[in-house]
Amino acid sequence: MEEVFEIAERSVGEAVTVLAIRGEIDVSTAPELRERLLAATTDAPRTVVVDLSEVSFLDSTALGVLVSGVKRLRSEGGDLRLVVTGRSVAKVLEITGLVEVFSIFETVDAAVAE
Amino acid sequence: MSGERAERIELRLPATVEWLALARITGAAVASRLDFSYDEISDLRLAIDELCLTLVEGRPTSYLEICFEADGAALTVHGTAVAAGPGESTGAGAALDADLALSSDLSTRILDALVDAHGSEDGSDTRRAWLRKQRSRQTTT
Repeated sequence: MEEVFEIAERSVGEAVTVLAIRGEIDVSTAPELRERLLAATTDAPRTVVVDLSEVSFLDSTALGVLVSGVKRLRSEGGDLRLVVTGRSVAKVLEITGLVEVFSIFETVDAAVAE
Repeated sequence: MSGERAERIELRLPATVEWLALARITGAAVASRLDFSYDEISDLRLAIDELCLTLVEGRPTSYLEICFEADGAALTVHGTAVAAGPGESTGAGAALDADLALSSDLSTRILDALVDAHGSEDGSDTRRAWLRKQRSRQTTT
C-alpha cells in the first residue's frame, strides 16, 4: 500500500554511523528505525547521522523514536544528528519544537564533519 | 465536484499498523478533490495520521471508523475507535507502546499547529477524535 521503506547503513571512520532512510516513517516503519538505531550503537558510543533527505512523511511515532535515540546516545557520550532537506520534515520538527533538541544539517558531509 | 456541497466519505479499517496509513491516504485524496493547496494537503495527511494515533494509543482497538465531511471550504474528519473484545487480537496499540506514550504530547502539538480545531473524548467502548481544517484559497468555479 505504501511506498518502499529502506534504511541504508554505512560507517564513516570508527565513530560515525550514517543511516540513510527512504520512504515514510510512521507507526508501521518506526519500529525498524528503532531497531537499527539500537543495533548501530551496541558496541560503543557512537555518533549516528540519520539522513532524512529522502523521507517523504514523518509522524510523532518517528519523532518519539528519534528523541529516545538522541537522549540515549548523548547519555552514553555519543550523539544523533539529523540531515533534513525536505520542507515537510522540517515543518514537523519546527512545530514540535524539536529543532531545539536535534543538531540539524543540510548535508551528510556537514553532519559527519561537525 | 464543486466542493461546496456537504458530502461524506466513510472508511472503516482494521486497527493495525499496516492499515492506519489508509486513513491519511484517503484524507489526502478527499482534500485534493476539495481543492486544498499542496501544503494544506500535506498538513492534513499528517494531522489525520496523528488523529488515528490518538484513537489507538494505549488501548486495544478492534477497528477504526473515519468519516470525512466536506462542507463548503472546510474538511472535518471524525474518527471512532471501537475497543477490542476480550481475547480479540489487535495490532496498532501494542507495537510501539513506549514510543507512543512519548509521542502523544507531540501529537497534540502537531494537531494544534496544523488544523483549525480538534478534540477527543473517551467512552467505555469507544474513543472519538475529530479535527477540522479550513481551505485557504477560494474556488474559481
